[in-house]
Formats: sequence, structure tokens, C-alpha cells
Amino acid sequence: MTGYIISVLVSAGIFALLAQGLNLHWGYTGLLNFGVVAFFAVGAYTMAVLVSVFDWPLWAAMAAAMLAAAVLGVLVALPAIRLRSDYLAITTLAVGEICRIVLHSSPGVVDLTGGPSGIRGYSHDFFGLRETLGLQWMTGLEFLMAAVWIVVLLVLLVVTVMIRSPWGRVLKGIREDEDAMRALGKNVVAYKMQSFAFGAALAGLAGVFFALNLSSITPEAFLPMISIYAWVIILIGGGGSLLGPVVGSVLFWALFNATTFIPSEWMSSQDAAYLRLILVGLLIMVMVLLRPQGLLGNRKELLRESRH
Amino acid sequence: MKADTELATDPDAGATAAAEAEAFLTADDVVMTFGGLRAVDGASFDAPLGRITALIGPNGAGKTSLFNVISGFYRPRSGVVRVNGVDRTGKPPHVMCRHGVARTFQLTKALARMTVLDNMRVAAPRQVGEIMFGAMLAPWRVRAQERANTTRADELLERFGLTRLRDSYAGELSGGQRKLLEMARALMLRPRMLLLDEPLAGVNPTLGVQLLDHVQALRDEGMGFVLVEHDMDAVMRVCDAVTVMANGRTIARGTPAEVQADPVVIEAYLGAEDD
Repeated sequence: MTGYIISVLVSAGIFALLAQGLNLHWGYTGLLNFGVVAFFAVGAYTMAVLVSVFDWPLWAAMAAAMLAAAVLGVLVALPAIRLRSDYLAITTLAVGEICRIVLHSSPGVVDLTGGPSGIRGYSHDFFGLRETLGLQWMTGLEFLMAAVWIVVLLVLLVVTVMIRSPWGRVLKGIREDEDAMRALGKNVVAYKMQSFAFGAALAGLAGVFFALNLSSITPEAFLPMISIYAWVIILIGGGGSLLGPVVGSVLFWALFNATTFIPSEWMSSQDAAYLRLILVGLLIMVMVLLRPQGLLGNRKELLRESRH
Repeated sequence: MKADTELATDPDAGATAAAEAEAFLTADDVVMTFGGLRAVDGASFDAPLGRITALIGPNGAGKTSLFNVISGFYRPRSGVVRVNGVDRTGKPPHVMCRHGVARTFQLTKALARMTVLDNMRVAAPRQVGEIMFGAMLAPWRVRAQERANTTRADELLERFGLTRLRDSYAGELSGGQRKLLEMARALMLRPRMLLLDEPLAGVNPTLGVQLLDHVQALRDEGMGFVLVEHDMDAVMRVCDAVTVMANGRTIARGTPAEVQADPVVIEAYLGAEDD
């Protein structure tokens, strides 16, 4: 049981960061991003390559990972963000796949990333911190869990301050009506870029912890499914609410990992893996039918929108 | 009323008789095309401060397109738009705002899932807190600005009779209330010239009268207005000058009385009703 809780909390923390990035894009700015996995992958790989190939210290590699994800965000947004939102969705979906394929088989890149065989040996620094901090009584996984959740809370704090500031108010305005905001003197494109880059950096940070949770990463760990998980989490927790991604992520992973409790006499582990996808699908349907605004979303806000 | 003095435009406005005579906003020979359609085909137009200028014409005359050119939403194919004597042709809307030209929309654009107060505050110009990380780097300055903007928003809401709805979501407002909110919101920008696109469309008569009263009061305080409007009675009653468009061109300009008597105008309207 303890093993289950810890593994749920590690995944939930990582995906809470990822979903918070998406929440910034979709929940607060109205940008349809179906390729958060791209920023997740770039964050993970930037950290892994810098630490294991170039021997960077972990903290610097982490900062670089966020920066790299943000830069990719700007590059994607530059041509795409002026497009209608559904085109942005298609573009981002493609960027997610492009990233994975480049990491997998692009010459030059593969020399650093190891291509399909992946990259390893980037996590000693992180788990070494346990001794430095005198926390040997924790298992590695417990230590990771604690670190992720400290970061989740810090990010929550920063995002809360930003969303409640006039900057966040402009983003919400853009979500509501872009033209109105232009008429009110706001440089809409600039704000969308900022939101996109910031959300991408959070996804990159999530990618760093995702990599630390695995002894090696391969491009196959970054399938489009990751982006879908982030969307499911937003759907459960509620977009446009600060705690939504956090709560959504915990519930998602609690359900997702719950199939491990099914005794093997009842069902093979492979069948159980399918079963959890079915469960997630059911959960989405129930949510959309009974609580379309998500658990923490504002029902009043949603009703207003549907009246238009 | 305190709000009234607050609404006075920039100190450098120099609202002297001379400045008023020289139009604040001018459009010269503007051409705007959509594919093969010349929606605006060499229209010229000007609007001084301290006056309400109406832009009228039959449907499809190109009023709204001209309006979108002036407010920076469309970039004209040719022609010049000047604000306060400076060429601002093709500048985006947020730049036009900075130079004192604001607009409202025919179909109101209330920010539905935001409160009425936030609809107002988001419009305030030059907010330090709107810079990314601004609220973290200069929290005290942001808080002081927020207080000032809230005060101003409350004054405007009171002036427009929306105080009661301050904390409601804008999506809960009626059509007429949204029009009022949109106008109040545009005033947060402290514009010198406000462009109103069919302010009376979809508004009940009582609220319409109220709205025009506000416009006239603000005009008397020195602001300029451009009005695209179909309600002729209202136009003739409140406007100081009228420009008439037909087929993308300006065909007449003058006082309401002059324009009403102009045979060219009468023909344009009657002609348009034939098709």
C-alpha cells in the first residue's frame, strides 16, 4: 500500500507540473496545446544530456532544461500563435511527434541522446543530494517524491501570484475575447507568447523530474499519450483553476495505478493495463456529463460561457 | 461630480478653439479591399475633439470597414489615417489606443467569465503589473496602481449606474448593460477620441437615451466621438456633424440639417433601398 501511495504521488507531482503548464495555456489563455509532450521531452533530454554528457551540475541543467523548453515554446508560437486556435492545436500535436522523432533518429542529435537506446547516468547528482542533506533514511523514491512536491508547491505559489496579478488578468481577458483586448490596447500576441513560453518552461521542469524517476529515458517514453494524460488531468481537476491540475493529477494517478491491486488470478497484468485505460475513459465520460467544469472549475463561469 | 473632472482628457490636449477646428482624427482617401471587393473606395473623413461626428450610410456603404481601418483592426490598401496630425496608418489597435483613439464593438465584447470590476480594471493603461513577473518584482507599485485603477473603475461604474453589478460576472449582464459596460471600460483608457460602433443596436430606448446622455456629457468635457449608427432620429438629435458614406465613398458631410436636405444623400438612401 505504501508503495502504491508513493508511486502515485511521484507520478502525480510530475504530472501536476505538466498540467499546470497546460492550465496556463488552455485554462488561462485559451491556447489549445495538444503537444505539451514536446516541452516535457525537451526538458527531460536537456537535463539528461547536460548532466551525463557535459557534466553540468544538476541545478544548472535544470534551469537550462526550463529555458530550452521555453525557447522551443517561443519558436513554436512564433508562426503558430497568430493562427486560429484549432490550427495551433494541430501544429502543437505535430511538434510533439517531431520532437520524439528527432530525438530518436536525427543524426547529430542521436550522438548526444543515444537515439532509440536512450540515455542514462544523469541521476547520481540528484540522489546524491540525499547524503548531502542527511536524508539517508529516505528511499530514493521517497526523496524524489518529497522534492517533486516541494517544487509543485513552489510552482503553485508562483503561478498563483502571477495569475492573480494584472498580468494574469490580461491572459484571462485574451481567453475571453482577443479582439476586445486588442481594442483595450493590449499587445495580444506578446502576451500569448509569454504565456506559451512560461507554460512550456513548467512542462520542461516536469520533464526533468520525469527523467529522474527513470534510470534511463528513451524517445518512446514521450508518446502523444503524455499530452493526452495532461488534458485528462485538466478535465478532471478543472481548467482555469489554480489547484485543479494538482488535484486532477493525484486523482488521475490514483485511479491509473489502482489496477495493481487486482489479483493476478483474476486478470493478467497486461489485461489490467488495458483495464486502466478503460477506467480513465469512463472517468472522462462521467466528468463531462456530470461536472464539465472539472472538480475545482467554476460552474458559474462555465454556464456564462455556454450562454453565448 | 468628481468623476467628471477625472474624465478630462490629457493635459496637453489644448482644447482651444483652434485645436478643435483642426480635426484630431482624419482619414484621407482610404481604400480597403477584400479580395475583389472594394469595401472602402477612397473615403475621407475627419473628427475633431469636443464634437460628436456621425458616420452614416446605407447597409454595405463601408462604414464598419472604415471604422476598422481607423481603429487599426484593418490595414488599408492605400490612404492615410492621422491622429493629432501624425500619420498612424496601419498601426495595430494597441498602438492606436496609446495615441488616444479607443473603440467599442457593434456586438458587445464583454469578457464574460470575468467580473464587471475586472472588465474595467483590465482596461487601465500602462500597468506595471501587466509586465510578466511585474507583480513579483515591484509588488508595492503594482498594489498602488491597482488601488488607483479600482478607484477609477468604481467612479466610472457609478457614473454609468453599474455599481450594483460590480462583482457579477460580465456574462450575467443584459445586452444594454453590456453596452454601458463596454463604454465605461473604454473610458478607462482615457481616450481623447472614442469610436462607437452602433451603440444603440439592441439597446432598449430608455437605456439608449441614457447612453447618448453620457456621450453628450463627455463631449462637453472635451472628448471627441465618432458614431456609426442606424437610428437616424438619434443621429440627428445628438450629433454635431455627419459624414455620409455610400458605395465605399464619402458622399456628403455637414451639419445634420444640411445633410438631411442634401439631394445626393436622399438619393443614396432611396437608391439603396431599391436593391
